[in-house]
Amino acid sequence: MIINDTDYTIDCNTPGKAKLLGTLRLPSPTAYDEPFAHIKSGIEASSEYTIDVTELEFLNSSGLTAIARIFMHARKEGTPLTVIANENTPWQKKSLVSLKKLWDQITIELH
Amino acid sequence: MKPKGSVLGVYNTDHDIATLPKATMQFMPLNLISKWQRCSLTANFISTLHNKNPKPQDKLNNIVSTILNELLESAIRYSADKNQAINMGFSSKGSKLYFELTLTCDTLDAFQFQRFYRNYLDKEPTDETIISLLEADATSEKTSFALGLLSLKQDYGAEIGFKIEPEKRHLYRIATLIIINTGEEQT
Repeated sequence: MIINDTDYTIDCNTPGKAKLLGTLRLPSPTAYDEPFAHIKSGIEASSEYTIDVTELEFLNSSGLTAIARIFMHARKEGTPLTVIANENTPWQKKSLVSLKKLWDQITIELH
Repeated sequence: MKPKGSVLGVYNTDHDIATLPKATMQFMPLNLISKWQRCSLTANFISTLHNKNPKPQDKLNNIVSTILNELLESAIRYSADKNQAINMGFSSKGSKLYFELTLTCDTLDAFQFQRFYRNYLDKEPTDETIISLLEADATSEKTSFALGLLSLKQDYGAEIGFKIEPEKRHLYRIATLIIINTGEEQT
């Protein structure tokens, strides 16, 4: 399943993995429910899950809140989560890493 | 009960935003709501104008656009009259970037700004502060606004202030000032 919007792409074609690209600046945390639905179901169906955000240039605070909800969902499902982030993108190196404390089974890999 | 006017955070320090030449913009919230991407397009446009490297991956460009977008989105959420213009200013001096947003909000939101400042911004933020905010409610727009400001403070060392002044019945004028030291001389 690939969601192709004007501003962003969410690619969930590979089992156990999602790749986010472009700019995600939707109006509210709940506006992310639909585009992130396949990530949530992927987490429910996998023993471990990876989200690659290295090519996601911008994420607003609503998106950061929605990512935090994904982290909490993985915690609830008991599915360890790895986030592959770009160390040259400021919000990924900083804000994303702060959310790691939501669960000790979340790994942030900075590439 | 009505909130009293208050001056909070970096507005109490010797900042020089008032005397700096700055890019100022006026927006009608309704125009931004009708096409939400306009917030992002505007933030990217201004950050590109300011920076030598216009690529979104450029560190400075990414930070400026991120902050401007957060301010624009918050202006839409909190402005009481979506047909009344909001003002945004952006300036730089030395290694510092200055962002200021002025809007009119209702009594409830004026209280919320004061409460939010005292509960979260008037102390050094920690990962635990952010986690407790998210654990309390990770669905509301106000949580995401709070998370946005907390992240700016914790992750970018932003100095943040609010100036809250009664305007007319049930309405308050709120100015938000964000100062970031990028550590690099701005040109």
